[in-house]
Amino acid sequence: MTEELRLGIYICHCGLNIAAVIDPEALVAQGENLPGVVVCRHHLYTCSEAGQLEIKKDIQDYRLNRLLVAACSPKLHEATFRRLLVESGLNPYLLEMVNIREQCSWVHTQEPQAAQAKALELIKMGLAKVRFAQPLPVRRVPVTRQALVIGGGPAGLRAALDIADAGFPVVLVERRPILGGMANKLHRTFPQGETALSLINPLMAAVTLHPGIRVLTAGEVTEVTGHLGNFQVTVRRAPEMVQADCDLCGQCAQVCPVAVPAEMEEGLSLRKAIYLPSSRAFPARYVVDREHCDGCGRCIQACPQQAIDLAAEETQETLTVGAMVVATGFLPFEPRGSRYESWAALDNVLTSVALERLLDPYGATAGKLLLSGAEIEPKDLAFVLCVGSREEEGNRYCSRVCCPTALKQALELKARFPEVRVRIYYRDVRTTKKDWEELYTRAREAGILFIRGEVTGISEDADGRLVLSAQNELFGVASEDRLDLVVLAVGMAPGNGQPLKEVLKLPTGNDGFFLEAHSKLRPLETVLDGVYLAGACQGPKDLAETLAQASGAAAKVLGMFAHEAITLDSIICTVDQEKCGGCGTCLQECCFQAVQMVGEGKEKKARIIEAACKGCGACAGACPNGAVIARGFTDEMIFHQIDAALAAEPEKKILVFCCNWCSYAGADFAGVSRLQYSPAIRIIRIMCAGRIHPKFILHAFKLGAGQVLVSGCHPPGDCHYLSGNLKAQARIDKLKPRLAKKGIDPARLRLEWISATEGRAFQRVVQEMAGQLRGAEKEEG
Amino acid sequence: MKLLICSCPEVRFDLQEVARQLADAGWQAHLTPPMCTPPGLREASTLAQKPGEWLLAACSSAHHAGLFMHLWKEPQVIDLLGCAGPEEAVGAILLALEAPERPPKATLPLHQSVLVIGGGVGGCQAALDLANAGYKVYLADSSLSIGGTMAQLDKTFPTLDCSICILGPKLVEVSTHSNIELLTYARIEKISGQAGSFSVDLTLKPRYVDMSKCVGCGSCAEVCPVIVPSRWNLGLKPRKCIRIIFEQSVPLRATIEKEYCIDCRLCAEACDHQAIDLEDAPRFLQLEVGAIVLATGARPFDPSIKSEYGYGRIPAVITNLEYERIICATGPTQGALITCRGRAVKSLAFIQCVGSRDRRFLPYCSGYCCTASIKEAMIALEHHPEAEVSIFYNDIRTSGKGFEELYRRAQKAGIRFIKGLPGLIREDGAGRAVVCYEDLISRVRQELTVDLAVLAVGLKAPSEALPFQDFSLERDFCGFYQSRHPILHPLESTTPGVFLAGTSQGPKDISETVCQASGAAARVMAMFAALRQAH
Repeated sequence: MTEELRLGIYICHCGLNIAAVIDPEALVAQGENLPGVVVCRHHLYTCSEAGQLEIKKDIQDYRLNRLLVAACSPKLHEATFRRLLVESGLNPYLLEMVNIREQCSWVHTQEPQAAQAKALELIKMGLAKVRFAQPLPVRRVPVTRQALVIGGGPAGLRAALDIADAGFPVVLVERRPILGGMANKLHRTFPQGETALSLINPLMAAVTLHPGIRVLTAGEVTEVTGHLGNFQVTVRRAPEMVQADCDLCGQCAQVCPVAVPAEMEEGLSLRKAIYLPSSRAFPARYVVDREHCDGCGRCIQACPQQAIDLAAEETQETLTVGAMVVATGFLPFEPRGSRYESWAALDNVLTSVALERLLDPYGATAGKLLLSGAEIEPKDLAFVLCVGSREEEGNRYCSRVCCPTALKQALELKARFPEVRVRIYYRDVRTTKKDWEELYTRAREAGILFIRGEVTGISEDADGRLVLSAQNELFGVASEDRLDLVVLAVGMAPGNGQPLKEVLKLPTGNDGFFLEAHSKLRPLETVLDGVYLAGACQGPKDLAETLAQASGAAAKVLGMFAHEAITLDSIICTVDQEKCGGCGTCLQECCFQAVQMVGEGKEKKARIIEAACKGCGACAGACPNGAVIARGFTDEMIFHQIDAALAAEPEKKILVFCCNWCSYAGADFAGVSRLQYSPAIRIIRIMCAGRIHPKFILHAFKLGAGQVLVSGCHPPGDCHYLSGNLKAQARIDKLKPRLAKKGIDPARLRLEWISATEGRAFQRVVQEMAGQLRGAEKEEG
Repeated sequence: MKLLICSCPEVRFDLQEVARQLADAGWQAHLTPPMCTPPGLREASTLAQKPGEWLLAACSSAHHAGLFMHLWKEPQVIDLLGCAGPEEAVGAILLALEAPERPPKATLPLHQSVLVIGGGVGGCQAALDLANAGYKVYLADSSLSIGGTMAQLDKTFPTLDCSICILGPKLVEVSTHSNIELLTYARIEKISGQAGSFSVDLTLKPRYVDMSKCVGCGSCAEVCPVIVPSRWNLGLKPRKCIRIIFEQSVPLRATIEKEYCIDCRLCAEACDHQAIDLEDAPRFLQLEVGAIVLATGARPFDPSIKSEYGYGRIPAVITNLEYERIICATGPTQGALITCRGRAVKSLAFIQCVGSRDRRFLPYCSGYCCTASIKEAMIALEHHPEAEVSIFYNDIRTSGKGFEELYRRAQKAGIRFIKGLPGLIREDGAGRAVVCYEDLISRVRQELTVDLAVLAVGLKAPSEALPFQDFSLERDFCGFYQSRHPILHPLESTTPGVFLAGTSQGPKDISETVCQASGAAARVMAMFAALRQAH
């Protein structure tokens, strides 16, 4: 580096979040004297306008050329301070964030002295790195202004319409043969009791007619490559065994010999292997259920339109889109296989979804309350709330919509059968929206009885009536009620987007729903740029929230499509042509075909195709010559970070290499959850565990590191770079015998998989390691 | 003119009867199955091929999602859902059939810019999304700074993330965005016009400080001799007559509150940038915008009218927003959790549903308060791990993402959850609050004496009305702005071109507000696209 290093350090109080444990002023006094530091300050909130103005002024006044901000996680504010650098005329990559909140003040609350010392060391590690920061070239790429919406339920329909109405083409992919999603199963909606048909069908019909929307039903996204602005998406479609000529005459189904329970009707009726998925949804066309069709071919003969071709094949196509909206929805909680199985197996016990089908005039019974073939007029019925929600084991969350759904259904049944006695067993009645409480009030006024307590069992008595036993919490008594109908208000479960999770590498939370980028301020974004969330795939939601969120996701897409080109992250790899030995190891390591060998013989060198490079650094993690420059995470940066981390008492330190996507976020989550752990931990962030070359680990042990942890995303599918985690594993497996030969106990090196929501796992692992370290110390002592 | 009647399942009267009566009047109607179902759509598509003008009797435009536009160019639609019975429907249809001259549409110029009213987190998000999509945005706020209520909070639930730390940068982003013009300390005087072409008069109140010269250093406040309570800190903290409203305010500028100024001019002497301008006067602006996003927020319920809790009389009884200020590092106690007498708080009670779910006051659930109180209780334990913390509730409604986990954590952390709302709070001799309640589980009447009782107050609709000239916005049964449809169009008001974001439409938490604000932005963009086509 030829220019003189002029560093500015800014230490944030973050109100009391940092300052309650660490003394920022003391850090400033120490930071001022570090080499290259021109200015060192502390601020109550560095990210505030006042804090940012101060930094901007310093950059001008002191001609700063590198910036270190010791504050919260880079996941939160790296973007903020990078923007500040750009506004100040500097390259955004001349910044290092030092995480003294999530990794220090929040996790060492009870050990302020150790936290103070650690904060200083973290700052020194940051300095060791930012010293080598280089301006990185700007990568501008054109935006493909076509969007992909995945999921054709209410959220997907709304998002597709909003994007298409604003003038941009949309491709909508739906896994099932029809649009409408779960809304097809709904009869009425709350709070006003309008039919779901009158609300959702116009959206469906408008999407079907919209010239700007291409609908691909029975389609699945099987592969996604590329990046924000230019994703290449492969969509596989089930064979089109019934062609567009189908005029819905239904003769095929009449002759079909195979009958199976209809999933659309919650198994309340049967359908054939060739069937019309729904009488009210789009597209209206018979489909063949490949799983159950025995290929007898009777339908082919029966079809007057000759529209059936059982030999049709799967099709596949590749689309280029600039952005994606994930709207894969939810699945209703399934009592089978849960502790409710024996209840649900009883004849007159229904799920709330099945009840919707019975009440719907478009349903299997044309709106009649038909159970086991007989129309019933219930005299005593009960709803059991929280079935599959707020469980100790299983779905621990509240599903939000079951309370108002049960109230809506109870009121409808009460209106239909005025004499019926309705009981609702609840834990808390959660009518949290302004117009939901009114439903609760109306239900009580209608004479519906609310019983707070746990339902302990449902069985059948000798007369075939249901017996429901419950513990009434408010009266402290057990009760037994004889009933002729029980409705289980089932919750919302994740899992509809499971295949997509693996294709997109989209993280899910502990609850199984897709994880948003930030729970408060980025609820529609994901960790993947250009991929947005809409509706219940992100968490339980009612229709109004779903539709509002879908519009929100559309706004994000439209914001991006307003620009012809966008800037991509500059963190990619290049090859130092002088150091490259042409061995081609990097070519083997790269999952993205981003390496190309150029020249022959001694002149053979590796080159990196920038547009294809994802910046994981797996090539750099394997290069025997140190020729790959992983921008933003270079060898010299990592070596110097290790040196700084282990400068004092290395034997008491645990060096942790965390991948950016899962493990670093997991450590952040431990911080946010205030999970306390040993102050011996020193984290070095890299983009992927595959970036860790054995030489870093050897270097750390040479310096006397107590223990080393490499942490990445769970195999096989969580890695954001396909298989960087497995590469790390292979390297570490190979390294361990080498360590043993060198007289280093291989147990001092660990590899762990920790995801973004596994703060507790992070705490457990590092605490175990700290325990071992203390044990080893005692042995030596 | 040909007539098509859609057998909309939402219509509660007999449409056959309508068709018969029309036939008697000499008009033959095509009665199709619901047009939004496959059979209905097929029939309507066939009919639409036929030449001539069509009159449709169907659902309202709030329902049909632009469906008819794809079949007929600018069809005339009679809203059957708005008709009380067959007679009214027949009347409306006949009127349209027999007077087919449609009033010519006024062609006003289309202004593709947006006024966002309210600079809380919802307004900021809507402004950013619109600005990022290339639209010019005016963001008006009546306060000295944007940030709204979220700026006053200490932490956010369920992650206990620092509130201003996540909001602050967003505010800075708003203020530096090239497409956003920030209008703080603004008063809207008049709004007239229609979707695509609104005219808005507003006044920027004088700050007596030149915004272009002030750098936000605060040296003026240091020398100012006049001390008044800070409203932003809910009166809990003193401030000077000239001040920057809060440390992270955007814009970071000083302002003199003229009513208290004694004209000593010490500030003018102290200011290195000659920014003090005691002769400053209001400035009037007229904006031409195509759309308006209302993000004016809700107001906390004033618990002093629920007199049994003694708020205003008993110093140990405070509201949850006051509590947020007390535990916040920038608050009156620099974040120390102490009573007004300066003692450490060893015991706390949180009282839920203050105002909410009470037919005397707010007949609805405010949604946010259960989780907020649990969060606040957890923070109390962070301040004083030994503190005794109780939450008095009716139902615990932790129904958002991650909320139930927070509830569990709180139970594990030893926070007591008591089913039953107190009937009375009185003061003991030592200035502590005595909470009198009946525990509904053990069915015992008890008293609990605490150092601090925190009232989780509900959110109520803002009573102030915006000065709309040619139209008014409908409010719902509790005073919030009515949306065009509660499920299909929660983000649109009853007036085309005026959109809703955040708590002005009903109580919401932060992430719901943010989602909605982005959603409102998308609806604005879709409306502009439609208006561009029409022009």
